Amino acid sequence: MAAVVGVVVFPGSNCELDVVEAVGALGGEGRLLWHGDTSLGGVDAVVLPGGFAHGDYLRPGAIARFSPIMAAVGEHAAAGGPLVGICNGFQVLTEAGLLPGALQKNAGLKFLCRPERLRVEAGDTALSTGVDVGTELTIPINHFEGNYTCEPETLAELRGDDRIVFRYVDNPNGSVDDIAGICSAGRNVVGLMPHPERASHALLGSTDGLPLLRSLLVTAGALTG
Amino acid sequence: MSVVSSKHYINLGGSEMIVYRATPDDVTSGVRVGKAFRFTVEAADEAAARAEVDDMCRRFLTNPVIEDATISVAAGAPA
Repeated sequence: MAAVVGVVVFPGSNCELDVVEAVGALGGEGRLLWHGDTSLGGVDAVVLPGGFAHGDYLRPGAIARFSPIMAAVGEHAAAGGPLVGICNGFQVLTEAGLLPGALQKNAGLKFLCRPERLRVEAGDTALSTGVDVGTELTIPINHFEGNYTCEPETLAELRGDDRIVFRYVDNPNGSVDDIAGICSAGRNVVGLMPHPERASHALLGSTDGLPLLRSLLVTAGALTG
Repeated sequence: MSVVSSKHYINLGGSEMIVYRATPDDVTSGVRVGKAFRFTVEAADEAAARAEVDDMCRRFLTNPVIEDATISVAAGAPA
């Protein structure tokens, strides 16, 4: 049976259908979930997509973390289930405390929307299983608040435990240590600012996002046995 | 504050710009721009009110990783 990836739709989400499409092309099943529901409906993996949930009012992710479905998302993560936050989804994960640190305004105070080169820095995560460390990928970014920051102790922990999953080759936004994506201590929760689903078809100019989404399906499938 | 030029206010095209000149009063008192949230806290005593506001600050109103919150209590107007 194909692994089912639930994609949570908040008011203001974007690219949720791109994730569903890419997951389907890889042999999985993508299923939209509504943020106002309280159940994940038995999906194997969860994606919090990009966009501007609740208009980014107050701070990106600050309101979305209180959406009814977030309790189930937290339980899914606590049980070791694969959970990926893309862009705004990454911001939601940090606000929810499911990943450490925060995403502040880009160092240049400009919205950035362009392909960006990343380097895969850590394997064995929900989004990098089967991807060689050191692989360079070109994947679009699309954010104003993508400048990752955290306490020095947190950064030391992320480095020490090999939890920095992606780094920018040319840091576009001022992120500490060129961080583009990190994972949880259990390696099942991954947040990243670039959009792998926007690099999932030759027509989009790059298919570099596919190995990452394939990893999500692999870890989701492993979970259901 | 005084508006230096109203010619630069262009609304229809979706871009907006207003140029202000600071008056001497503003130079000493400072200018603050931002959002204000007003709400009423009902609590048994000052300590309980502080605890509740502190909790709101940590969980919602601010992100402690990148923002600081200070709570000050002032004598309120009678209800």
